[in-house]
Amino acid sequence: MTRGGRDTLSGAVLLLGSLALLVALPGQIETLEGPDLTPAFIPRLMIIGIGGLSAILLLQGVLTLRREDTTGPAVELTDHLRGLGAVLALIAIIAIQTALLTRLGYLGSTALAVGALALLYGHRRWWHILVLMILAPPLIMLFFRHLMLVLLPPGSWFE
Amino acid sequence: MDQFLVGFGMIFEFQNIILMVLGLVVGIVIGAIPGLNVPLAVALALPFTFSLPPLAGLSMLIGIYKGGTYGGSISAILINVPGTPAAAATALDGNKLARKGQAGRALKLSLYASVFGELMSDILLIVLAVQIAKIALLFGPHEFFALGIFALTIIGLVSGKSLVKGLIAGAAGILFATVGLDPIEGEVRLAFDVYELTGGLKFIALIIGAFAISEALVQVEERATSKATAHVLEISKDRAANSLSLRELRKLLPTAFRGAGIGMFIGAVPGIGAAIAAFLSYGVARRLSKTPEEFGEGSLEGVAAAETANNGVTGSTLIPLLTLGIPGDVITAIMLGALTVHGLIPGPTLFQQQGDFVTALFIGMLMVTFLHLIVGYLGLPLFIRAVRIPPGILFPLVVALCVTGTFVATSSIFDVFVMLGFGVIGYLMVKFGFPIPPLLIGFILGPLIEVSLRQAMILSDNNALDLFSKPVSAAFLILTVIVIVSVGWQRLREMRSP
Repeated sequence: MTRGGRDTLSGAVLLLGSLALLVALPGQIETLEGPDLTPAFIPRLMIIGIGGLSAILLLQGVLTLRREDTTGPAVELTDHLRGLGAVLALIAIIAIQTALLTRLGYLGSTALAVGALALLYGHRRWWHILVLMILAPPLIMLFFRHLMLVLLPPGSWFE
Repeated sequence: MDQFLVGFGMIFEFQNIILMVLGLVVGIVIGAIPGLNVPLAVALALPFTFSLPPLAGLSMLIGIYKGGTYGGSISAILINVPGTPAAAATALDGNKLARKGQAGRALKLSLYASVFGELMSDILLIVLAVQIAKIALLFGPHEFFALGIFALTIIGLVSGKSLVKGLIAGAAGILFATVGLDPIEGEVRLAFDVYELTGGLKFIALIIGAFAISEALVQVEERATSKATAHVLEISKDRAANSLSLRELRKLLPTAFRGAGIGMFIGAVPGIGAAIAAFLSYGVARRLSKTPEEFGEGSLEGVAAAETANNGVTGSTLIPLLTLGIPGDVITAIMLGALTVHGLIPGPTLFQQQGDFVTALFIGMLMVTFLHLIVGYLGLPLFIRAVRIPPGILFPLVVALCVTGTFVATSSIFDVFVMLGFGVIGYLMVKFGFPIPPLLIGFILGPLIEVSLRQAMILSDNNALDLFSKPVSAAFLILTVIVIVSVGWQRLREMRSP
């Protein structure tokens, strides 16, 4: 995406987001109006500020798009999709690890995550990955238990 | 003298020294590895410091900071990929020296120059901080509000290429900080009926998410699309190619002093940072050099200029944090978090009420600099190996530590998801060209700015013009407006020019 495209898209999204927040704000802060600055003052000011700046960004983006030379070298769509896929996969792995943390326990969830992440980052030596999955979680767990005196979850499925 | 002896006794403990060394090793290794950065290392280490005594925890963080700032030069020299943005100037000549078979000389010079810059910066911190703290004791809510606005504006302006995006990031940081309980009236704000949000968004979740997870996301995308691999140059076994004579070092002294001076000045101003200091010093050194044609072709002066400046920021960058409670960059913002968790509020009252702690901290800074020289020299073979760690081994460990660190610090699965959310926000900010540091600093300064403003309004019966009746707050507010207008005007002219 060109710079003009990025600015236009981000400006538009932030502008819409700040308008939505401005509408939702009164329901999110219960406050009695009075002579002093209320708890709603700073949030409202920041939302209005972001909205105003987003409008400027949107305008900048549109003006830049009009001036930009869009006849540059084309980027492979497959590259884009591969990159996006990797990002979504990483987000999913972290989310699943977190969701399983208290169910499967620290050792199990982290071992699975570490193995999946090693593959995602392009490591293909299976015995490296196996050693990492077996050694890393218990070492981290022992570090926290004995040096930091913090217990990590054992897992409700095993209780 | 009594305070010095008490401070010395406090810092000179086995645990503190071990943690300084550990911090230096971790910092240098993380700094040396492209794809990881110093804020990431400091953010990951932060949860570990919560269960340590404050001096021990800070000693480790300072070790990571100083080590990491230097560590970037190792990969800059060996593979022409700076481990930190500040090492980009070092790569210009450092890698050329390595290609000529003089990698050992470049690496040693980088170490000596870094330690020299740090030492000068520590001395400035010690000399200036107490004086500034005395002046800051006279500040009230009006002054702190104006100072907070000024600091945030500067950081928003200089942190990225776009003025508008920097200000949006800063405002977003302040907005995120308002989630949870209002600090004055206790009303719940922006919780959207989610119980866990009534306690607010956690600082540790933002730090780790915005800096570490976002970097992991950027790296996984790059690895999925890029096929290039960096080639690591070998160190020659020839002693002459690895040694620096005293005569050569003496010739570099004027460059080193100049670079350290530039680094110290830049470090004391919020928001500018080590990378700008390094390039500025490099540019000045080239202009003043008797052999400017050697710059870019393997000049020892070039390496010395860049490294003294980039490490010269490390001490002076603590001046605004310790004296005014205003973090000047991401690292000091994280250190502010570390201090706050231990009930130590940076600012002028810290010098009054915890003078022994401050003295111990100053001595600790000098000890870390001294240890840096030893650790850097003896550990160089290990640090060079670190550059070769495959990302497929490294990043899974980084992500595992992110999840673990956040969970340990907050004991909440919800906050780990918040960390992931900030990671996605940080990734999107990088992709769309928004700078991340203003987001963090807005999050930290937001409560200070809000509380100061509301207190100031109560004290002046809601008369906003009272902010301009006090000279210090008026000066900062006028400076803020001048900076915004002049930078905005400059950007407008750049946009209009053909």
